Amino acid sequence: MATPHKIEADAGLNARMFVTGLALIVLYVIIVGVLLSLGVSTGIVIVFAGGMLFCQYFFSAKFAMFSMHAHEVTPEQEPKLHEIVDRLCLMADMPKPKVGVAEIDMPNAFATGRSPKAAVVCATRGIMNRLSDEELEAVLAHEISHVAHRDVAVMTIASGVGLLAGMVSRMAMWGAMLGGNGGRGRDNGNNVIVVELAIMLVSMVISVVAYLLTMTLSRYRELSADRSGAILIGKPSALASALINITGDMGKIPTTDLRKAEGMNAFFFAPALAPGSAAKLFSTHPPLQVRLDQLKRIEIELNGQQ
Amino acid sequence: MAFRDLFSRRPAPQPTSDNLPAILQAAPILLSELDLIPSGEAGICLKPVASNNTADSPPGVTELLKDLIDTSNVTTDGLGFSWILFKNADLPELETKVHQVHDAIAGSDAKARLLCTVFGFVPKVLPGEGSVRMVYLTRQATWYPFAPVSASARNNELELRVKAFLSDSVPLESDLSRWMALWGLPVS
Repeated sequence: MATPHKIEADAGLNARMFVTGLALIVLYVIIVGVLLSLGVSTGIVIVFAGGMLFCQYFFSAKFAMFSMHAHEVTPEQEPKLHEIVDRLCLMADMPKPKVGVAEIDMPNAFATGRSPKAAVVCATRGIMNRLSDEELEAVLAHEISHVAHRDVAVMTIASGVGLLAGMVSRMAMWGAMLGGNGGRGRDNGNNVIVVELAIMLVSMVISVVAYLLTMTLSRYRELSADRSGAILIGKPSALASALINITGDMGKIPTTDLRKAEGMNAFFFAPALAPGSAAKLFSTHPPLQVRLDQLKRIEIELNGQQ
Repeated sequence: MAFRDLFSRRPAPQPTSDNLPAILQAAPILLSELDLIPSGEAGICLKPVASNNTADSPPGVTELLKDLIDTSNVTTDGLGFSWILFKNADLPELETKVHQVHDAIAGSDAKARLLCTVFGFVPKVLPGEGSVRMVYLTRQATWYPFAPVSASARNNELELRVKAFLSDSVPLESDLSRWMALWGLPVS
């Protein structure tokens, strides 16, 4: 794990994370009940959902890299980035992940990959331009903590509930539309439609609840990664200053050259600058103030121990 | 905002010199709040001409400006953009000259080439907190600060402080994503 240092885990955070996970498991049970009431199609749903989850799990790194326009870089291309990752992995005692760079101006970084061995840690050009070496190290420590915590696997499984519920509601909708005149009605047609509409409704509610729970879990994982990352480098303030620099107004000021933007295809840089995009990415993240408050507490904790 | 602009059928805003004199309001505030004085340098940045024209500066503009400026003060930067450079330690005089040339271009066929106009500000006592360029976006008729600290990094914190001090008296660009950098610009 990424917390080899003798620092007590945050019990409250772990408890909240556990409760959220438990709620997701309860949802799993409910959805299995719904599936059973559907009868014949249970197997198909599980195969479909399982297949999709499998793909998401095994190709998550490629998906994420592709969607962020990221590419892997060698130590020769990005010596500074590799040096920081090398040092962090040594401190955290974990295998070195692949290192990638996304050529976009939006300041961001992400880690992906189902296991520490298959992981990729990626930074955007925007974040590398904006942050000092120390701040960049803090951000990468946060991402490496995600890898150590196997957050990609955790979040894939957690989002599976929502995925399943979504599929069930869609299948129930088709069933209701096609009506009882097909061969699969056990009762008369009208009853089947009522039952399938009910299933659709329940599944939709489950989808929404599962989504909210997944987001909540995601925010806890973020706080957890902040904590481990800050402790790993022993400087919570570096992560705090990095967060201030890449969120809010500072994160909006581009590093792209006015003259280059003028010559570029507008479609290329618009997504990176669209005001909504950063907000959307960060909706899975806790509010800045919550993260800064936690980092301040860790700072006090660390100083108290010395 | 950027997205809506791409699809809107509104005509593109026309280049205007209207808010150029706002730099005269900005200067005393920059001095009193941030100890920044005018560097005495300014520049008008022009987009390159379409590829069918081989001249560095289109005959139109040099022809147009030959009575107004010394054409040796026109340079081309590494990205192919032309800069008309001005030097005058007296800011009101500098602004008058820049404004005159700006108006002349805005009133000619070359008006679509106007990209931005830059006035340099430097710390009164060196090293200070670094220099700030005030950039005027010709189409938006708005100003924003650009404070480079190296070839690819800018001091966002200083830029936001400039914003805080100037927002009441200068028409600043409110969309921060338009505060584009001008790396290695020839105006100091």
